[in-house]
Amino acid sequence: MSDKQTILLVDDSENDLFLMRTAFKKAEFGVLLQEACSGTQAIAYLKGDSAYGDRSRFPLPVVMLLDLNMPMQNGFDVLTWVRSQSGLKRLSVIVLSASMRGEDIERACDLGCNSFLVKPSSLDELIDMVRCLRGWVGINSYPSLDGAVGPGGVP
Amino acid sequence: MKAIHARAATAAMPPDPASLFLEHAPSPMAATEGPEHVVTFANSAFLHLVDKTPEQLIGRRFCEVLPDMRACAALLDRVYGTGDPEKHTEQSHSDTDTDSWSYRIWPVIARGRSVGIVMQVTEKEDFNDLTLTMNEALVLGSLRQHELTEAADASNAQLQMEIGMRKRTEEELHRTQAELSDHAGELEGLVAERTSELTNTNQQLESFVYSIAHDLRAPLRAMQGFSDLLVEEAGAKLSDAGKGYADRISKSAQFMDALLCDLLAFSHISQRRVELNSVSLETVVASVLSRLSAIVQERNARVESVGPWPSVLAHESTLSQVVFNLVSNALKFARPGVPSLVRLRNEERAQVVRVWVEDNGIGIAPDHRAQVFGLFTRLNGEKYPGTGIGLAIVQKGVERMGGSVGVEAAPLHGSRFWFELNKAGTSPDR
Repeated sequence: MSDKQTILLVDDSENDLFLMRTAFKKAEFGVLLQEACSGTQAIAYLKGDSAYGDRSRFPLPVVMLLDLNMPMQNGFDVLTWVRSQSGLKRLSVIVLSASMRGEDIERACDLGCNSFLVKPSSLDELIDMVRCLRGWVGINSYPSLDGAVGPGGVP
Repeated sequence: MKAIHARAATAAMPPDPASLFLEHAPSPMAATEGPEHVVTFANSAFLHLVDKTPEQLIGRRFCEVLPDMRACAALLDRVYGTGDPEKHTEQSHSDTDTDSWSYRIWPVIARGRSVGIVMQVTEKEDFNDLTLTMNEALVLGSLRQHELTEAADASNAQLQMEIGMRKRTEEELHRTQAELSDHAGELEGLVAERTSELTNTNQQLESFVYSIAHDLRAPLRAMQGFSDLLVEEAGAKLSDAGKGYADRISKSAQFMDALLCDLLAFSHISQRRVELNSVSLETVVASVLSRLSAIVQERNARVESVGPWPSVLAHESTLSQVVFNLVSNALKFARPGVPSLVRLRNEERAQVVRVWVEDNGIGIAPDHRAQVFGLFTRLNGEKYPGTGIGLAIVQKGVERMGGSVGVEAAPLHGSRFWFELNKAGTSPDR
């Protein structure tokens, strides 16, 4: 298992994943950045389903960056599921959405996200945002997740 | 007169004037005495009527000498017995005569009991006349009654008709009223339906505009991000022209992003529920100026806020956006080479507070002042890039808060924008 902290990035947009990856590099945010391109895949990762069974390769993240608008299981569904899992309910979830609609922000907060960030339009702003995130991840204190669920779960 | 007291009535002509009066009276009269009805007196008219001489009558029993008048016998007995006068009519007096006769018979009372009878016979002509008159009167009466009945019937019919008409009118009225109320109900229903349709349409429109703006921003982020990356990472391999193209892509994407953001803001301000509260202009103005301080500094501009600022009836974030847009608008349209001077002040009027945002910029030609608040209205070209939505947001926002906006020419240069809102503590319905 890597000694780096893991961040799980969930977004269905290839472009946004790419730009985010670039921004992480440019911001020199040295974490293990894992990606899931759908809500379903994010849940599979967190559960440690077959493909993600090896927690040394796919460790539980310290933070999940979660897009909202995705087909099938969207961000709200993933958030709801996470908060209902005894081994995951304390996971830090930061919503990263293009939406700045009040009702989306309120709903996500009601469902228990830890922060709500709006995707910036320029790469520079995105890099600034990732730098802030790096700072935050560095100073944040993390709770014990108290045992994960699923076959590959870490107690 | 109930009874005549008997005097000494004899066959001889009575000497006193009363007897003379009776003797010469035109109607036939006779008198009898005792229960046998012995005739004691008969005047000339009576003698003539029965065609007898006094000798044939006086001193003899009435029924013996006048058998034709036998019908009277029972009557005479009864009047004599009861002492009550009676009338009697009989059809025929003799065989030749078929006319009717009428007798008036009354008793002669002495010391409380009957001693004789007096009778008077009414002549047939009189009777006939009377009968005729009576008949005529009866006929007339019945005619009159008939007429009256007819008139009553007619007026009843008229009344019935009028009542019928009135009833029909009333029914008509009721029906019309019912129809009207049905109509009103239908209209109300229609209004409610349309309102709900409109609300639906508005909601659909809002979510449509929102998702368009939202979805369009995703590829824009990519365009901007990748053109930035292109310049940054492959810039060395690009010609100046190539870098210029990438720059144009990035700038266009940025502008489109601004456009979509403004459109989202306009849609949001048009649709969101605006609840009015007392909002301190002091706080709002201060917060807007602090948000704009970087731009103010960058452009070497000056913004003055002339207090004191009262509280108004407003929706805080909407008011904040209105003030922000007006001030950034004032900063933006500066005359080349002249640092912007923006002044915010207020006037308290009767029910409202008018907020002025004045600048020394390029101003607006009088002809264009009316259009300046329209959506996508841009009066200046490339020199002053903008989306043409900022002032539309101002107008919509102020309207949503029950106020009004306007623009006037400044005395020398620049524009004087104003908006009015109700003072805090006044009624919000304006």
